[in-house]
Amino acid sequence: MSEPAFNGGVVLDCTEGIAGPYCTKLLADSGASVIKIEKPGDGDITRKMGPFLNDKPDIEKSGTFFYLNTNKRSITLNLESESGKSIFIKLLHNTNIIIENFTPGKMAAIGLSYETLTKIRPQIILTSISGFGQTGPYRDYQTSSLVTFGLSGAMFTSRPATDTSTRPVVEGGRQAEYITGLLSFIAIAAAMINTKDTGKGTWIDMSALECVASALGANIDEYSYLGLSRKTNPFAIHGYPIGYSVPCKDGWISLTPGLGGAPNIPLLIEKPELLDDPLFTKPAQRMADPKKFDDTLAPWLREHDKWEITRLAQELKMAFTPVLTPGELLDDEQLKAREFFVEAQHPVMGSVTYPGAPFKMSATPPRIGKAPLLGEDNESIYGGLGMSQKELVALKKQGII
Amino acid sequence: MDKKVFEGIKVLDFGWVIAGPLTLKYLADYGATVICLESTQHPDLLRTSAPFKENIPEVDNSGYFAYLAGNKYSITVDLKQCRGFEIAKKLVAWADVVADSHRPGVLESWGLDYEALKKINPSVILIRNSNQGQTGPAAQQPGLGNHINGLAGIVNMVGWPHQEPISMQVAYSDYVVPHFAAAVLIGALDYRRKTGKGQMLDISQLEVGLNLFSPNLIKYPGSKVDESLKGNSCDYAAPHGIFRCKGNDRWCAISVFTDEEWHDFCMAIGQPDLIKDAKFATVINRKNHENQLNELIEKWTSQYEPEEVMRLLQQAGVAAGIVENTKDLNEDTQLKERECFWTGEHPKLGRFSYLGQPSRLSKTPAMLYRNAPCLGEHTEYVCRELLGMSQDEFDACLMEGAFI
Repeated sequence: MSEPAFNGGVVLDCTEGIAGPYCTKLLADSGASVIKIEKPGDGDITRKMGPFLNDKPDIEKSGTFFYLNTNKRSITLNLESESGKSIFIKLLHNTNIIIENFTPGKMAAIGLSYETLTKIRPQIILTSISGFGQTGPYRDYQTSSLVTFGLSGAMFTSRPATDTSTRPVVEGGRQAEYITGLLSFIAIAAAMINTKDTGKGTWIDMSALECVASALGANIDEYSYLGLSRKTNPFAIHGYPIGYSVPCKDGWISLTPGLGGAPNIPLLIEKPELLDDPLFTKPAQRMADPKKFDDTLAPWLREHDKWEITRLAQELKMAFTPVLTPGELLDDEQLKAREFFVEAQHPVMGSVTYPGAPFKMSATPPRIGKAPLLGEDNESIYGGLGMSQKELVALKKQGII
Repeated sequence: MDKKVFEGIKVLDFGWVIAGPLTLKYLADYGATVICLESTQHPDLLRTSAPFKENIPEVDNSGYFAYLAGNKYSITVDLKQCRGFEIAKKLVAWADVVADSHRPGVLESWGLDYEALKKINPSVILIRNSNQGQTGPAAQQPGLGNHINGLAGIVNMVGWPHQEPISMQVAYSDYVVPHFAAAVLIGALDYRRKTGKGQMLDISQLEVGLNLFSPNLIKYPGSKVDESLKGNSCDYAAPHGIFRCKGNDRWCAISVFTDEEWHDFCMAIGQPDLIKDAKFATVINRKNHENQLNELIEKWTSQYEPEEVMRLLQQAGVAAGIVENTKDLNEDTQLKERECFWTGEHPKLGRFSYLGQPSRLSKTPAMLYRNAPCLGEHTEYVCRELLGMSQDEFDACLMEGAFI
């Protein structure tokens, strides 16, 4: 029987929202044992984020929460109470990794600084995720996905190339938070290797701004040797060699005229008389008059659907691709063939299908599983610490668990 | 100084363009020995991609490549030449990890598929980055990262309602895939250490894109998908947008989620009367009157530069940030104070700086040890020092044209 890659790691997850939980989901899906610590009562804030089963807001029916918390166990614990803290310290003895996304300084304020934690558990890996990092002038600033994207340099050029005076637009889907979670995952993976080598712990200081700026603020290197600060996205310019969207019969396709020109386009659009037209044989000509280029293609594109266009273009060795909608993706043949979507049973939501791991590992396959109910694992985990049923009832009454 | 995290890990990289090489950049930045196997006949697409220093297109002049190949070694080998192929095989035997980011089938055509690699090095880890994975009906389709923007529906997530989608600033998946791939690779290295066994890793860019844009792709009885473009708005917050500020093309992002933040916001902009306005009293009311709300806010923001808007709002505890362009980002005080920029003196590009690895491990930080290599810069070093070839052997390979 093969085992998942990160089997053996025990993670205490004190985060909520998207970035932290996405990070620990990736760890849990890869085999780590993740104990999610939630606020007694409401739990993680994403339990209140839709989409909900039957459109009914309910902390056990959120699709967003489900996706972000697969394969974890949940306990409730109030870390700000003294007894909550001492329970946390008991849990620490079996823990390799702690992840938190409190405002910087809060862990120390409640008596759980990195120094304190290493005294109890020297090999601990503490991961602190925040908007701007644990130091620096923005340390105490507030942020959101939108604000992080704005500051990161990744949003400024996000507008139509034809009108650079328009308002920049954010990348949807709260990507700043997902990217921060992903980059925290890899930092933890590296730290785990380091701890196994040296026996020493580490403190990982993740800043959402730095994650997004370094991952997507990709033009920063140009500035250092060319002094270039772009106003618009080079990928959005019509007529350019790669990747801009044009309408077709049933939506949009990504048009890729290609670096070397697009000599086969007249065959695609059934106008062989244009085969020698410099608009198609000379990229410079196309880039000089993108409107003429687009207008020549438009009538044919409007009569054909995205998959037909893709198939015909691929046969002519042109890498056109359809712009797919979520509904179409759920039915996509390629994704089906790779068994990308996986299914888990949830006691309240029933059968839930969600995007699985985006990779295949031949020896250590990732896990498929559900998200926990709020406090679902209180009994087994607290029981494992030797706490009696009576104690648990009392702690629950006091709002500590 | 502590040992670097991946010191001693040996990687042979057949990969090219962005996603593959960026995966290994992570390991190289933390101390792994990464060798890019290149050829002067088919240089990496990035070596021939602008932006070039002074716009002179030469293989060692691309900033794109310089960014991705920092801390790595370069050897040029002709795989079609008998001695060249032998060197590649020696490197496979030397390596812990072999990396590939070509279209599925290319490695096979060289006779270096996973089974062949295992014969040379039984515990090798092979990591393969591709557009849509190594299997399935679309596996063989050629494609670049930006194609995934369309296929994964990512372009559908950026733009205004009822308008043409706006493309991402970058080939999005190219820049997120590497983090997934590197983490998975680290997992495989750990497993290999425990068991002595290698494995093959098959990473699909399409699937990575979808893993990051997921809540829309969850299906349960009665689920619906929301396919609308939302511009800068958010279902749970108002105001939530980009507001024009004083100056030319200057903007500030502002987001207000809770009613408490709304109070603080009204006080910060000096309009306490707004707190009492029922139209804006709750998130739902603010969402219902969002256009009016946005106009009102922009009237205020346009009197100030974005730095001032950010300062005033952040002082009051409201999330706000300048929409920074590349120049702003280079001058950002937070990034400067936290020493986020890595700077090298590249032999061709001169002073070259970029944002380093954002994962800060307190005791073993990543850093730029060595500039990106010129094409074939380490051919002799790799053959002589790492593979232990004698001078005569090396010279013979050179004479026979193995290193082109």
